[in-house]
Amino acid sequence: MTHTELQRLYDEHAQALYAFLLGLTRCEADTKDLLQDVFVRLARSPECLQGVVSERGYLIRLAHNLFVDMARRRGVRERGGERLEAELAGLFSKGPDEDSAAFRESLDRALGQLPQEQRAVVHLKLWQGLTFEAIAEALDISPNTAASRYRYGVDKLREVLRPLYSEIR
Amino acid sequence: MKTNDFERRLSEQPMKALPHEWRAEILGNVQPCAIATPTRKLGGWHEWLWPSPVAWGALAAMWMAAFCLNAVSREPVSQRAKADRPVVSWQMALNRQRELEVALSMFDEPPAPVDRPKSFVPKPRSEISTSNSLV
Repeated sequence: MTHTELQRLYDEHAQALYAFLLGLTRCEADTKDLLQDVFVRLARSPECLQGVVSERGYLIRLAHNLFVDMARRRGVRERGGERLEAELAGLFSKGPDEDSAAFRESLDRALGQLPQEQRAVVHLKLWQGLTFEAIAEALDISPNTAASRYRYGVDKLREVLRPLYSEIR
Repeated sequence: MKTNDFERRLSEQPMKALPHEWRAEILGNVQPCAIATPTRKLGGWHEWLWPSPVAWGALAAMWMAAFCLNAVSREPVSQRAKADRPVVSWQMALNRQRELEVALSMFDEPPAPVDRPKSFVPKPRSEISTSNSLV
């Protein structure tokens, strides 16, 4: 794979991968490591994108697999890190007004309270606009599982955010 | 709170932007270590054979032709058994001949020297009596 090709992939997909990985890891440093790994893999295996229908889908799958590998490697530490997930990860850009900023902070925390599987599906559906079929393919699950995880996740978010959401509407 | 309104509201929240400085770092780290130039692992006749379906087809056709020729030229089992029988009997006769030769060769060999006890030659009677009288 040429450097130009790698640059094109970065320019087209790195933002989406960054948001997805930050949502999963909730840690800027881990996100950077994983993003680096994604591009190292791409550079080492230039043939991996041949015949791929959706580059974005393939890269999300690759990023998710790398995240799962990292979580497995860390094992015990990951269990200790559950507490940190309820804290702010800085997923959203700062809003112009205070209400929006407060809502985003609450949303950030609420996402941190979701199980990782639901968080991944909710992110891909809401912020990447993927279909359940595409999500299922990227995460190696069935479309029904993707849909049910999404529904559970959104229900939990609604439960947590209901007071704030009603207030700012 | 309608589901669609809520979900739309969530999806409208802008995600944080990717830090600009990461681009140079990530691509810079990748470039020296990992950009692989496509290597040509196959060489020689592999290179000729592998990508060419015609070559594979020709090879397969040759195998089939060889197989068919082998099958056609093979004699039926009964004929082969008949043809094999004289050979077997001839071999048995040859073996018998060899065994006979070995047995005969054992008779031709000179007898091995054996330490026989000296045969007792009786002395003349006159000598016996003298020897006894002396004792």
